[in-house]
Amino acid sequence: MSTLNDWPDEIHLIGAGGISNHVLLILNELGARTVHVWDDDVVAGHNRPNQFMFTKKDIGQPKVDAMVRFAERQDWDTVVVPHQERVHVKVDILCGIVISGVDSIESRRDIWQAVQKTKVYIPLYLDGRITDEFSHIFDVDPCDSVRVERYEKSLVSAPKSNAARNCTTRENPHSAFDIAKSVSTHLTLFLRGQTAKEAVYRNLLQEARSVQSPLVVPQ
Amino acid sequence: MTIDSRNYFDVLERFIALDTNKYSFVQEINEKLYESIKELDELNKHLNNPDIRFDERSKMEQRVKSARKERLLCLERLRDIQSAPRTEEMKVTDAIRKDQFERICRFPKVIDAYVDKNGAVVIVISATYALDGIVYDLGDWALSFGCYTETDLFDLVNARDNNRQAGWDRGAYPDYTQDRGSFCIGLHNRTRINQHIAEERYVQAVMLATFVVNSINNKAQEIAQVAEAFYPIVPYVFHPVHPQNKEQDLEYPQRLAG
Repeated sequence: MSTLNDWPDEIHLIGAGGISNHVLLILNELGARTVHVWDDDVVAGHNRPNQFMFTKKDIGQPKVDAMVRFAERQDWDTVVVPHQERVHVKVDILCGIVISGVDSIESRRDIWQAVQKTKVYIPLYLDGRITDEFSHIFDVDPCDSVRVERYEKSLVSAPKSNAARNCTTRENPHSAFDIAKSVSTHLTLFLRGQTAKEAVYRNLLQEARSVQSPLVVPQ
Repeated sequence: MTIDSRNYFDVLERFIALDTNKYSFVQEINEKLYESIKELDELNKHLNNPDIRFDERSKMEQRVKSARKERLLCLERLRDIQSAPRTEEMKVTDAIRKDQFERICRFPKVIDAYVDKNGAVVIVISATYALDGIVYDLGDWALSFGCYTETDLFDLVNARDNNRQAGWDRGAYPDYTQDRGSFCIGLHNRTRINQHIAEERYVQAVMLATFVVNSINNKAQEIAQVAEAFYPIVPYVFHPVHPQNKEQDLEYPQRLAG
């Protein structure tokens, strides 16, 4: 199995904001057949700058429906299945690959509780987070107790900062693109049966070898 | 039959695919899939137990990984079978199934067909009973193929209320439905319908089910209460006909709602 086209199970994308807009694009590029998108929000005017899938006509409409319309306009092979609801503890139909792109720790906790309910059916849970200029992705197998423990420690609300934030930093496109790139990398490695840790180690090894090689040039 | 022509081909496709499950190699995969899901469910229960020992947890995590692999492999193989070109043997069966479905659609009592959310093919049968020159409405009944209940290869449930005016307790006509809302068709009829489906005689299965839902228990006491228990159907109107059945010029009475 090397592409998402061969993936026989489901793919769930939770949240339909800045991260999910870019991730859905990547999922289509990777050949996903069906993607379930979950969000209960509607498109607002301020969403448009960094959520490119929404048009002026979509304002006031559910985000998930707008994403379906985008996929149809682009004539994608990927079928987008909309779920206009929040993922909370009562949702017990998550199965397959789950990608979260929400904007609050509370939502992440709710999603994590839902993931825990059917964890044996979820071999990969990706949680993308962006704050202004930074992006971070968590790659968790909900049945791997070591990674679960590490992830659960991250589900703590950060203390509110009083520092004034530059309003334009929130609209930076590169953070969301960065998450989409990381999702692509993690998914590709997962489908190859490798972990991100192994890949990083391999890259480091390769880099070390390439550095060493000029030193061993025969005289 | 009022089936939408766009639905018609979807239902036909699903009806033909009902047989795919009957090939032994597909059954084998389904069994393996079922086993892996059963194991995963069991492991899910154990892993949610906070008192589990660390070494046990590690072992279970390994088992989860192998069960997941097994499940994905089964899903992949099933998908490949669905998308694979049909063999000669399958093509012959497909043609037979198509003919059967067309015959079922031509039954005057069959008023709709669709695929439900579980992928089962549902045939909706209208039920009436004529007594002393008046036709009474017994409701619509949904016969599902491809949904396996605990004991049967089919399900027969109420699709539209039959406007019953009173139940057992008020001394009127007895309730046809069992606990889940399925039709109480009697052991003998149930066995025969199951047998028809098992031997792939779907037309006969629908015919028998139609006969059963359109009948009243042959007891003088119950027949005497029909007029009180059910609404009469008036007036008769021509029922819309599926494009494929136009030559048949079917005429069918449509009841008034409420």
